[in-house]
Formats: sequence, structure tokens, C-alpha cells
Amino acid sequence: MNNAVNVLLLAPFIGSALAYILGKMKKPLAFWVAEITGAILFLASVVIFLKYSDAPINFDLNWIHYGNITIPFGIYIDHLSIIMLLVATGLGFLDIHFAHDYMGEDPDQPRYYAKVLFFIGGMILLVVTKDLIGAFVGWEFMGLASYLLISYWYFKNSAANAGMQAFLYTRFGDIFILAAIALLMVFVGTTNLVELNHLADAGEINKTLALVVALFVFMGAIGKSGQFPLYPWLMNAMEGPTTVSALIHGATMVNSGIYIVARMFDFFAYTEALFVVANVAALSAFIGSTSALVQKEIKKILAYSTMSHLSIAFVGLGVGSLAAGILHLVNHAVFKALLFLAAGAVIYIAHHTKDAWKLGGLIKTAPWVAIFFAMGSLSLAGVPPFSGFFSKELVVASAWEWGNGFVKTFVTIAALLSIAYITRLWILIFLGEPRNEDIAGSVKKPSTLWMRLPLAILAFLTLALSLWQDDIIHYIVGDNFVEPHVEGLTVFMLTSMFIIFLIVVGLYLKGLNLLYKIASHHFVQTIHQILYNGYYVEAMITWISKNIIVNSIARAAKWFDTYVVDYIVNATVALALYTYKFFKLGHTGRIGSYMGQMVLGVAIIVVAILIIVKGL
Amino acid sequence: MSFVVLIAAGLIVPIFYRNNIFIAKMIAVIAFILAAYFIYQGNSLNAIFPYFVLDKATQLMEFALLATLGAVSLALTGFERPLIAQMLFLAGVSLGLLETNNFFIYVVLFEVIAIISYILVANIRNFNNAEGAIKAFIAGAVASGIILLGFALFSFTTDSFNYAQMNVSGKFTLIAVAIMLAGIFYKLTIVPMHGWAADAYSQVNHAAAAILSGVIKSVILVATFKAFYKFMIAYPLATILIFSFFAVITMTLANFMALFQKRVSKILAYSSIAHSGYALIPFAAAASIYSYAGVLYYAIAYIFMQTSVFLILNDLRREAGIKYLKDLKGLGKRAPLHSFFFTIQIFSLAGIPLLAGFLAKAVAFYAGVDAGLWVIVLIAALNSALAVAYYAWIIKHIYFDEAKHNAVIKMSPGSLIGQLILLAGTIYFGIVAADVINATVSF
Repeated sequence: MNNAVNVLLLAPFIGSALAYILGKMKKPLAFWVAEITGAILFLASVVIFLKYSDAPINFDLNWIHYGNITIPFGIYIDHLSIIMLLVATGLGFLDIHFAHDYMGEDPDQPRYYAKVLFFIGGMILLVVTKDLIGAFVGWEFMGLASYLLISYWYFKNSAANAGMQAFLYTRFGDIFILAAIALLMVFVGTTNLVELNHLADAGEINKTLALVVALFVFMGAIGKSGQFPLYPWLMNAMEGPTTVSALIHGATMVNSGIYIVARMFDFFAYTEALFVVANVAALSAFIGSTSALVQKEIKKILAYSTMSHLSIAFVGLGVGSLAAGILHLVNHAVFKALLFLAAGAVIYIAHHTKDAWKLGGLIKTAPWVAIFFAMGSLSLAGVPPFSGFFSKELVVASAWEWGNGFVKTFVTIAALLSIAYITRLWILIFLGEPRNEDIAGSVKKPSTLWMRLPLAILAFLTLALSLWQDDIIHYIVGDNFVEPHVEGLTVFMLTSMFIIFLIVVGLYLKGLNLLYKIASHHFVQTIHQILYNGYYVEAMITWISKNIIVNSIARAAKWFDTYVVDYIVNATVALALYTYKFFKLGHTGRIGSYMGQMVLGVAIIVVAILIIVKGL
Repeated sequence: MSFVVLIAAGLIVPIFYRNNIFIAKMIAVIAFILAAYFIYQGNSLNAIFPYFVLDKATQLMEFALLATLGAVSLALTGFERPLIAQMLFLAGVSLGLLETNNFFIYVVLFEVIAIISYILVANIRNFNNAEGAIKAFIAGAVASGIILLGFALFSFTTDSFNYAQMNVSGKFTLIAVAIMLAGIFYKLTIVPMHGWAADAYSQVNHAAAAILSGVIKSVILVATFKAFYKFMIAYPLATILIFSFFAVITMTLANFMALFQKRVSKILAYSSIAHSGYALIPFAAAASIYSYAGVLYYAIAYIFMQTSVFLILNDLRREAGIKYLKDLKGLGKRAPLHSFFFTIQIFSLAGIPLLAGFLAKAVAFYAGVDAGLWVIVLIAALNSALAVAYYAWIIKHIYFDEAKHNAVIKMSPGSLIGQLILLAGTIYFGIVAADVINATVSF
């Protein structure tokens, strides 16, 4: 078991270096190194899962322990970690496998696989560490990998900008985590996540302090998991390769915010920060699901739906149901990876066309992809018997049972709307007639081994997972799971979903003309613009950072730097030069003068000693 | 056993290095690996002679030493090949110096290392080499005289030379130790005994300079701390005064001198002198329980980074005749591998976190703070900041200036492996601090 842990911690980084170096020698080797590393990681996770006995795997290690400076770096693997490990490594492996074809034409593959493995390493580090410091390191590793992968096609301006944006937005949240670590170090004396939960359970932490820490940590989670208001980076992150979107911005990295809240669940519950979590998440869920309704690009629709579903998982946590949140996280990871990869397959066979309105009628050329995409869609929409149904029901029921009116309303709307945007997307891509002549003629067939197989596995999983929903719940929270009971909720949800489904199908299959008429109205246009631009949050953030931060604060700082700091620094040059010239006097290059200095040195020591001896 | 292996290999290697340098290198590398293995087994000089003790800290230092020398021997070519045999002897003697617990043997082996270093620099190819070699030799001869004078004085007053049983309360002890220290300061290039080093390091063959400034200095640093520990504890006031004084003037002078140099080797020479100044802080803080950790960490970090930068400079000078700072312009494009290693090691020298140089400084300065030498540590920190100026200046030339030539400089496989070993050391000891710190707990 310890070996498995070591493998998990080291293999990604070794594999990353190997994939790059070997790939530089012979290109296909990069893929195979990555594939084998991915398989090994998944196997190691499975080994841990199978061999796990009741007690968590726990190593109390210190990174640096010196005098009164201690930086802990423990390892702690419990059920929650194992689930996250299985999700990260399993989806990681399938994603690498899928990339064989999707990235097959790219000339720079070694770089791609090296970054992906590095990312998986960061994710593993995050979920197995015991301390907030270790988690922060893994967190930043992922942030770096995400930045590098979004701007993977760095020669495209949009990709480079999107990478930078993602980095800045997530960094903004990360600074708060750093602040939380500092606060914990100074006032509590530990950053140990397990211990923090125990302290919270025992009520031994100052409640105000704990609230501040929890909110700071949640701020980091907001950045990483694309919650209001730090979500615009997630949409622009779709500039990266689709496999990257699937793995990082759909299935794993964006979950880390939920993970960290779940890891510190008792702590959050104690501080009542969960109230904030639930409300922010409900708002985000609403924003995500409504904005997803009007997007044009396949990946942007999926991105907004990711945001919305992450928020639904957050709502689950926020209203106090750890099980609901994590269950939805797992189900969402699987079906979102499926949807993104299927979208990747669509984009790949349609020669990198991302605009859904240009596609259409693809069901004839790629029927299997259409079916797998549909299975993912049904799961996302929450239609029984797909796994998404159970977790979404659970979250909504929990919200109705324990949430306030705001949370209840918004999360229900978000949950219902998912069927609308995903049905719309599916119809646009697969049904009807091809809307673009160029693409229609040249659509490729996806290969069975590299594209259909991973899709099939994921599609099977999203169905099969519904058999194990109770097991997963009990695996996470043990036996003390309280199931929320809301009379008639399921019937209400299913009926409303069915009505929404009928409306969307009617509009997009039969009533396109009606749709155009509605859309041409000014009022609808305004709403459309607001939704399409993600409620202008990005514009707002840009305005604030440009006008308030860059143009006033930064400008003042620049003035101070140029005219005050630089002046002082420049003045020291002359001083340094004088000092140098003075010291240089002794440096003649003649050995005789050096010997003289040496004797002088001896004399200094001897005289000093004589003085000391006399003094003594 | 490790000692025997190294000396035997040193005797065999000269047969090969004229005809087949590859075999010579392989013999050297195998000897270093075998020696490391025997040290790991606890079977070094202590198995053959009395007066030698192999503890954990010593083992760690010896591993670093052998890895560095292995890396250097892999990187050598051409007329540097005699260095391979000399390094094997040097390794053997260094093991003795590190392991001994006898003051007499310490002094003798110190002189042996001095002689080996004269032979190292005697690889004279041009006028500059000759000047550097002569300076090193004359300064060394004077220093030897000073050390022996001090030792003679000390030997009047003590009954035993065993570190633990030395009589440190004799009438002449303090003065004798002070004189000896003055001689040893020459080897550690402490101001004002540094003049020869600034010239010799930059003028002799850079591979020899790598060994002189990187390897020998680190070994002497650790061995001297062990040898003089009892004196430093016995005379706390003198210890703090002498070492603090020399630490401060050494780093200050060397950093200011390095700021305005135009030769890269001269900058590195002065930076090496400045680092001796930082390394004296844990000496001054001998009373602190962390002092040995500080010295050992500094030696281990320093041996990797300093050796590496001089080796890269050696490559660059041999392949492209790079001597001056302006020759480095645009090196990032001409020689990406050299630039990469150079940059990381320079960052380590400057004390950037996650590299060995940072943790070494942190641990050494911590010892200083622990002993109450706030002021000295503050001056050292300011000096480190000052040093970043010339380190960053080198990096600026490498990456941010346009090249005059476009000829690509390739790195030989041996050099690459050597640099990778040194880089591994710098990064490992920059992240994992526990090894060194735990090793020194029992001291």
C-alpha cells in the first residue's frame, strides 16, 4: 500500500519528464509514456481502493523541521481521497488515451503529454496531502498546468490571453488561501486539515477567526471551481485543446474547490461559512445554466454547464449534505468528461469546427458518438436511470429540506434548465441538415479504438454508476446519512423537465422560424446579450481592474517607483562604485601585497586575541 | 576500504588517460561509486586505522563530495585529463580529512590537500595559468608556515590530539589556535587572506578552479568546524568576535568587488569569496545547537553549485572562448543547455528558494539568530540581496541581450550527465532539508 502511495506521488512527475525527453527523441514515445504512466496511476489508485482497511492511510511527515520552524507535509488518504484519486487517475487515463487521435496531428506532442502528467501529479498531491500547505502546493501545480495547457497553442493570441486570464483569476483566489494558511499558522498553530476538523468539532477555535479562514479558503475554491464572480476564465479556457477541457476544466481540476470544502467540511460547518457557500453556489448555478442556453460554441455551452453543475455540487455541500455534494461531483466528473470527449470527437471529425450552428446532421456519419453524447446529455439533464438523476435529485431535495428560499429557487431552476441547453446542443449538432456546406462534405469517421472506446467506457460508467449511488454515499459519510424527504419533488422535477424538453424540441426541430421571430424582438435581444456575455461579469472585472487597479493604484505605485525608489537605487550605484574603488586599492595583483595583507590579517587576529586574553 | 579503492584507482588511471580517456573516466566513476558504497556500508578509513570515525553527517558530506567529483571527472576532456587522477587522490585524502578525529592528522591531511591543490593548478598552458598557479602556491606556502607555527605552539600545551580529549585550557592555546585559524582562512579565502584566490580562481584552468573553489573549500569548511569545535565552545567570546568580524568584512568586500567585474570568472571568484563569508556565520554561532547543521548544509549546497558554475564556464571557454560578461550575450539561444544549468546554479548561489543555496543560507543564518547574532545575520542578508545584483546581471546577459555570434554551442554527453548530477544535488537539497538536519542531531 505504501508503495502505491509512493507511485502515485512520484510517477506523474517522472513520467512527465520522461514523456518530454523521450518524445523529443521519437515523437510517438511521448504518447506511450503518458499512456503507461496513466495506467500505472490508475492501477495504483485501484490498489489503494481495494486494500484500504478501516483506518485512513496516515503519515505525519515534515517537509522542514528545524528549530522552531516546522513546515508539515503529511499524507492522509481516506474514503474521500480515494474517490477523488479514482476519478482523477481514471479519467486522466481515458483522456490520455483519447488524445492519441485528437492530438495526433499536433507537432508538439511531448510538451502536451508532459504537461498533462504534471497536472495529474498536482491533482494527486492535492487529494492525498494532510496539510493545507501540501494542498496549496498541489493546487498551484494544477494552476500552473492549467495555465500552460490553456495556452498550449501559444501562437494563437486568444489562447495565450485565455491562459493568462485563467492564471490571474485563479491566482486572485489563491492569494486568499495563502492568507488562510498564514492565519492558521499564526493563530491556530496547525494547518493540518484533519486536526482542524477535530478542533472545529470540539469547538476549540475562535469562531470569528475560523469564519475568516473558511471564507478565505472558499475564495480560493471560487477561483478554481469557476463560481461567481471568478468564473469568466473557465469559459475562455476552452481555447485549449478539448482533451484538456475535458480533463482539467470539466472533470478534475475544477472539482478541487469542492474537494477542499468537503475536506474541511466540519470546519466549514462549525463556522457557518456553509451558508455563504450555498448562496454563492446557487447564484452561480443560475448564472451558469441560463448563460448556457444561448451560447454558440459547443465547448462554451459545456463550460457554462460545468459551472452550473459545480455550483449544484457546492449547493449540496452548502446546505449541509456532504454526501449529496460529493456524489454529484463524482457523477458530474464522469458525464462531463464523456460530454467533453464526445464534443472533442465531434470537433475532430468536423475539422475543428467549434460553432454548433455550423454543424448539424452528424448522426448519420457518427451514430455512436451521437448515442454516447446523448447518454452523457441524459445524465447531465438528470433523467433516470442515468447517474446524474440520483445526485441531482439528492442535491435539490437537500436544498428544499435545509436551504433558504434563495438557494431553493435558484438551484431548482438551474437543475431544470440543464435539460434545455443540453437538448438544444444535441439537436444542433446531430439532427437536422448540415448547415455548412464545407464541413458537411468532409466529415471524417472517428476511429474505434482511440475515440469510441473511451467514450463507450464513460457512457457505460455513467449508466452503471447509478447502481452504486447508495454505496458511494455510505462510502463517504458512513452510516449516519440523513436522507432528505420532500414530497412530490421527483414528480415535479420530471414533469417540468419533460415540458421543457418538449418546448426545446419543438422550437429547435420544428419551429426554428418561430424561434427566429422571438429572438428578433428587442427585449429578447437584450436578455440574449446579457446571457451570452455571462452577465457581463467579465466586463465588470476588466473595468475594475483597468480603471481602479491599473490606472490609479498601479500608476501611483509606478510614479513612486520611478521617481523615489529608482532615484535612491541609482544613487547607491555611485556609493557602490566608491566602495569598490576603495576596496580595489588592496587588490593590486601583486603577490607581495597579498602576502602583506595576509600578515595584516594574522596581526589583526593576534592583537584581538591578546586584547581578549588581557581582558579575560 | 573506500580510501583504498580511490587511491588504487588514482594509481591505475594515469595508465589510461593518455590513450583512452573514456576508460579513465569509467574507472574514476566506478571508483567513486564503489567508494560511496563502502561508505554507505560504514567501511571507510575507520575500518583500517584508528583516529577515524564515520558518522552520519560525515557520510552525507562524503556522498556529496564523491558525486561532485564524479560529475567533474565526466565533464573533463583534452588537456584537463590529468585532473582525473588528481581528483581520485583528492577524494581519498578528503575522506580522511572529513573522518578524522585527531588534530594532528587534520593538520597533516590539510597540508596534503594543499599539495594536491598545487598540483591541480600546475596544469599550466599559458601565462595566465602560470600566474594563477604561482599565486596559489606562494600564498599556500606562507599559509602552511602560519598553520605549522600555530600548531607547534598548540602542541606544547596539549597531552592528546584527539578532538574530544584535547587540552584547550593551556596558556598558549588561544593564541595558537588563532594563528592556525589565520592559516586556514587562507584556504577558505577569508578577507584579507583572499587576494590570491580572486586571481587564481579566475586565471587557472576553470576545471581546476571548480575543484579548488567548490570541492576543496567545502571539505575544509566541514573538517575545520569539527576540528575547532572544542576551541570554539571553550572560548565563546573570541569565537564570536573573530568569526563575525571576518565574516562581515569578507562578504561585504567580496560582494562589492564582484559588482564591477567584467570577467565572468572573476565575478564567480569573488562570489565564492563572499560565500565563505556567509559560511563563517555558523562558526561564529558555534554555541548554537544548529551550528553544525549550518556548516554542513552550507558545504553540501556549495559543493554542488559552485563546482557546477565553474564547470559550465570551463565548457563555454573551451568551446566558444567565452571570458567576459559581454561574451555571454544571447547565450540562451546559442547554448540552451549550458544556459539552463548555469541559470539554475546561479539562482542557487543567489539563494532563490527551492534550491540548495537558499536552504543552506536559511539554516546557516538560523544558527546565527539562535546564537543571538542578529546584527551579523542582518548584514549577511543585506549582502545576499546585494549579491543578487551581479547574479541577475549575468542572467540578464544570457537571456535578454542579443547575441553577436550565432554559432551554436553543443554540450558533450559527459558534461551533460555531470551537470545533471550536480543539478540533482542542488534541487534535492533545496527541497529535502531533513537529511542534513537529522544527520547533525547527534553531534
